[in-house]
Amino acid sequence: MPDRAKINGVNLLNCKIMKRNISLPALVLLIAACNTTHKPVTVPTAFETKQLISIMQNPQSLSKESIAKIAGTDASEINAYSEDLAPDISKRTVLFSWQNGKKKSIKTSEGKELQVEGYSSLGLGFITKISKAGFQQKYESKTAVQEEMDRITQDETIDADIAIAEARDLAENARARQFEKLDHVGELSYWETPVNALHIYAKGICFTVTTNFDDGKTSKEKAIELAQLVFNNNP
Amino acid sequence: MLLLLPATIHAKKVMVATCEEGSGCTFQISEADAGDYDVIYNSEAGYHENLPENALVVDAKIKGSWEHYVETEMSRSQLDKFYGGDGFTMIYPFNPNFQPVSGEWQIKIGTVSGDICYGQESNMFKSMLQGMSQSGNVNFPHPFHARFLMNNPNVKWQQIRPDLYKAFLGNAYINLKFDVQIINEKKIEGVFTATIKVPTKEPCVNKIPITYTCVKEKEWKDPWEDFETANPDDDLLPVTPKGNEDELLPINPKNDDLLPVEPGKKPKPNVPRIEDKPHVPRLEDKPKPNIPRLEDKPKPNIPRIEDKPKTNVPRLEN
Repeated sequence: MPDRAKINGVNLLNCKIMKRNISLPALVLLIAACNTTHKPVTVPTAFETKQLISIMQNPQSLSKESIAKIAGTDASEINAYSEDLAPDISKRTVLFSWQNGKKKSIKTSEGKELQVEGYSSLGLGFITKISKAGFQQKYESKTAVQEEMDRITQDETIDADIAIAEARDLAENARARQFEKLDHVGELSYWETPVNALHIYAKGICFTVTTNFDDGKTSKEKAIELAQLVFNNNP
Repeated sequence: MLLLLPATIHAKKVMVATCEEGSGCTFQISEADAGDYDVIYNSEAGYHENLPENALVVDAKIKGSWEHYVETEMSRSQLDKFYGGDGFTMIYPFNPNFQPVSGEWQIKIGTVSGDICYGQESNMFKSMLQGMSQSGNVNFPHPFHARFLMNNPNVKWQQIRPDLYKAFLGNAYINLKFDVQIINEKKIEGVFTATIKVPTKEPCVNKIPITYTCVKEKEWKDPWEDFETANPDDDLLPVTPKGNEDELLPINPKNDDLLPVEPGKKPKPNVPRIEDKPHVPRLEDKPKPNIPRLEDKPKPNIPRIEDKPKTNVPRLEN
């Protein structure tokens, strides 16, 4: 079972390997990155599931000013989206995005170059009722991915083509997915890379804070800040 | 040779991504066959059929305009993040962004404009359109297809963009074309173009605008209302489709080729496994009474059309 020590051990090993091959200024930065700690995010006694549900029903119930503060931009730049297309509500999310000033380009197969505005985002969703043990199992068990693939492929209501594609995606991503257990965020939480998302358990439910920033460190910091905001947001 | 037959019959689909700057992408497996995309996008024959397994056929709204291209470098998650999304993706059975709501829809057929055809200022096409168009209380099946707007199985439809459909009907002398755009989930607009061609004369063209508007959306319950009372041990996820839960979508078994997948009819995929799991007794593993069944007759070893080739899903341990 990949326990916390093992996960942290892998991270430490990566840091050690990198330290050997880099210059001193870069090394200092890297040590800082490797030793990053975060502020504790405790679950307020008064926290209720309905606070989260309220955000899912109406993303505007989280003020744009507070999102903008985390994002480091102006509130007028924040766009809120409710991704409520999935019939299964545990798959639904809300998204707050803003232009980050970076331009991207895509070259199509016909040779046309498309200019796309760069966006960063923070999001929230995947709210599910779960026990603490079940949540831990989901992110620490070796068989969790296999169980999810089994669930998808055995679900008769899912089209066979979709089941195959989703199972393949899960299998391919499973190789890259890493979960780092975080101390003092919610009752229990895991930081997932490379997608850069924070999975949090609190008071019988779990939810995920999603991020879209250029680097993992910023993503984690911003995700923790949003988690704090959610816990303290009273509708 | 016969064993190879199912593989040749099963037409390849493509993975379609619908993206928008700032909000990410949604994904679906195409309704149309890969080969149909060659026609729609005027690409060389076999181009879409031979795309790599990871290819994503992208329709992206960039600065207000729809762009179409094929992405082969990014994964679904990467593409979603590229357009500002959260990187978590799922495959929908249909394009979720362009599904008109069920409810009461009104149809408004506008004024015929264009040529006076051979001395006749006729609204012949207008009455024809009225006869063909869907209106009143409508439960649009999911996935929506513009063909549901017309009660005519002879109309040939093409979806050329997530929100845009084209239809053709007619012959060398009377050519009918229908362009339909889903403006939003409660409004659909179209233009019906009728062209009459008579040898030695200039083609006569008539255009008729048509608008479908949802005037009363079917009431639906907020699925979050039940969340707090749901039992976490219940492994049935809270699924609440729009509309009344017990109402089934209208299915026309004769003409509707978009019937929902029936459990057991499609072959299940070859599930990749990390490791062999111990044999867990299941409900269906109970000893069954030895009652001869109709389907217990010996079956001839003939490959069935619906036996899709099993995809080689990569295993985790590879």
